Amino acid sequence: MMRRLLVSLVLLVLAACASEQAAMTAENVHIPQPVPGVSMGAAYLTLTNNSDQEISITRVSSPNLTSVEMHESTLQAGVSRMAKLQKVAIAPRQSVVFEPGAKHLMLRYPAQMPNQITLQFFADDALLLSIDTILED
Amino acid sequence: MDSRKYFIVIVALLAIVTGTWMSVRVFSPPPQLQTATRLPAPTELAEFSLLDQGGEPFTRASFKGRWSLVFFGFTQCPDVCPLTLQVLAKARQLLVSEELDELPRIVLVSVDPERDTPEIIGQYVTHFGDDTLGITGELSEVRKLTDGLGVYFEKSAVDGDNYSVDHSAVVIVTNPDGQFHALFGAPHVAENFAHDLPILMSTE
Repeated sequence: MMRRLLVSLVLLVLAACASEQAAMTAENVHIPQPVPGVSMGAAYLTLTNNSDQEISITRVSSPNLTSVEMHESTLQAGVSRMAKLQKVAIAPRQSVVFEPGAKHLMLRYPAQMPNQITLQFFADDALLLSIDTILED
Repeated sequence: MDSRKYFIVIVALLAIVTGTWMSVRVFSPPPQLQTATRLPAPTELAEFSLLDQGGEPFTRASFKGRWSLVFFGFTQCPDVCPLTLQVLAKARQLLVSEELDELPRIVLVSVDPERDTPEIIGQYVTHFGDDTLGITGELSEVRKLTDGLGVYFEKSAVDGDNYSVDHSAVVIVTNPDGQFHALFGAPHVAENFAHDLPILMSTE
């Protein structure tokens, strides 16, 4: 009897967790094929903070890539500049868009091009979100 | 109606059609540039000596004989450079429907010749179409070309040994005389090129 009650309780908690939306979610993820012979590429996506607290992404990594960095391209007085971002903050219930010509993820590919790419977003050492995606054709 | 009246009606109709056609051709304002800036008078490029993707010399004279869309970028640029070259490639596709004698070629001049060898830039530009040239060479020779065009570029540290290159995002148009003819400022949109290039290329 006690065992059945415990199992029911665990199932109830799991169901509640499953129905709760993750604190951060990703949409419109697209990773264009890098230009052949070039180890650099970009990734674009929209990240949404579904929580009531600000989220600060301080690091992005991938087990399939040599490195991932958050960058921002800007156009100032006709000059295109690219800077590395140390963090990207997302206000509560707001989204941040990584898009061409603006914020983007800069991907450095290994010699062996991966078919699938996992992107992991961190706030310091805490994993916020992990997404699996594939390179566009 | 007798034949004389038929004749008068036909002549009158011909006069109306001819008059309308003349007014459209002669009195309509010529199409206006939307985004490009045409130089009041084309200017000569500076003397420079660079290499094309085949390792062959590419000099001021190499611009002669073709219209060219010249962009300054580098192959390790993951965002703006491929984006701009895609826009230019799309503009060329849009221009296919125009009755141009020849489509302009796309020329990418590396502002990172330290990393962009002829082989590397050659492999890179092939991705953006057959009629796309990659140019590189000595930094001092790149400067001769860019300084004459008012194009800025400068290395900028990103992280450790890793660097980026800040650079003017302008697209320079050179004419078949090898002269600086016009420019397109960023941000770039393929439809803007497709609209303005036929105007620029028809009024040399």
